[in-house]
Amino acid sequence: MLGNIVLFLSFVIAVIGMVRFKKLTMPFKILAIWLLLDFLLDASNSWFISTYQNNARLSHVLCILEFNFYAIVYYILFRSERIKKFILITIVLFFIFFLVNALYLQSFVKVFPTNVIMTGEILYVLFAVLLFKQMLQYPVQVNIVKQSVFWFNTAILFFSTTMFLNLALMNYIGEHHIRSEIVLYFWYTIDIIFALLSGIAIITDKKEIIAENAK
Amino acid sequence: MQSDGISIHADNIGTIVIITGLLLGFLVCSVVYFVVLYRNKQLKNKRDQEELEANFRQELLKTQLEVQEQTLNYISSEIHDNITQVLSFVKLTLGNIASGVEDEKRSKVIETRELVAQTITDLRDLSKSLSFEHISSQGLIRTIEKEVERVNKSGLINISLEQDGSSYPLGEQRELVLFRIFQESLNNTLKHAAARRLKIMLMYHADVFVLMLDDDGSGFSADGLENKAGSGLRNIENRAALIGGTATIDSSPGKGCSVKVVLDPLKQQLY
Repeated sequence: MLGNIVLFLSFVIAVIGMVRFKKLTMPFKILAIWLLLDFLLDASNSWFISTYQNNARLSHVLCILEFNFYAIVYYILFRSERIKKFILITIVLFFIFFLVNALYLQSFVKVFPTNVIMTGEILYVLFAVLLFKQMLQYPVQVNIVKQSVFWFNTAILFFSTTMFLNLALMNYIGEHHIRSEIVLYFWYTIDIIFALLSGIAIITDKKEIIAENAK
Repeated sequence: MQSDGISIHADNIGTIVIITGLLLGFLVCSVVYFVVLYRNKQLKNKRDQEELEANFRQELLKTQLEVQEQTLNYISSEIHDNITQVLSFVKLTLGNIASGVEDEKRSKVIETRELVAQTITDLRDLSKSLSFEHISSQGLIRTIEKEVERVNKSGLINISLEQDGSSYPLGEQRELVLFRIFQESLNNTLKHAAARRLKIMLMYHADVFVLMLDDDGSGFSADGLENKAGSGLRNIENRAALIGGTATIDSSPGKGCSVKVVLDPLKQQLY
């Protein structure tokens, strides 16, 4: 039931993103494309499970695509050339790590890629904190609740920190063969909140405000 | 919570909930803290920007005034050194000619000589009113008095000058700016107001100095501030602000115009 709610919410936000696509600024156009792609991949989750008895393949593809999309969004949003270079380096290194993990550590066809996902979450937290720092260094004379950058960054920070805990719990539960619905509900709640925050970011995005942020 | 031995223990659930709650609470507090910090930064940024803009406008105005004073000084010295010298030579030559012509033409030559003499005097007065050094040496009241005499002689308008209270020095720069405000207002009255009378009041009180110019001319509406006349009036306001004073211009169609500059003599001079 909660899973369907999350999927429906993702669908609504993906549609909003496509409807507002022309009015969005570049980083949020990329985000809108990712939200649509994410919805489509999530929607095919049940097919993967029925075909392959697990969704490891999907999870692997999702995590590398997600990182690349978010890294590009952050690349555009950051002003500092040093941070931009750092992001480019992390994209390359992350891809190498993804390959190594998929081939040698957590099988592409069998195992959920928690190593790659958790590494990604750590990097998202780092990007989010750096972007908040940039926002403080270069404040724009616009109410913060009207700034899409704020909502997007909050969504990423929230999702990354809570998902990190969630994955750690799932690892623990998996290793001790413990069944718990709480962790699943927690996961879905995180997803819902993340979707809502991303949706607000897409809705509030305006070219004038992003141009001010970029000055 | 234990049914078949593979569910999470109640303690574990509690621990999970507490950790999750603490984490979410920390996240929410962090975001709220960021929002407060951001708002403070926005306000500080806005204040800094306004201060920079105000400083820039002031510096620009100071530069404009300095350039104007230099130009006026140059014109003053050119009038004094060149034009009046040439006219003095013309006057001298006419004096020489007058002695050698018949009676009929002599009176015309003498009349012309007197006109030239008058022109030399007017030009000298004009030169003095343009010169910063002359204004500084004479002081504000004396300089305004001379200007009033010069204009009254022309017969264009009847100007009365009144002083309330004993005069005290306001500072060279401020007195110069006040004189320029006076000149600007006077020029506006002569050019635009079609006034018959102009009353000038200098009030020297202990805690405030006031310069007031009231004319009985045609006046103008608030829309008039948008056109070229308006930019001259804005100049008056800006100059007054530069010396730490405030200028108010009050006028309506048919009711003349009143320019009032108020200055705190004890306030630290900005210019």
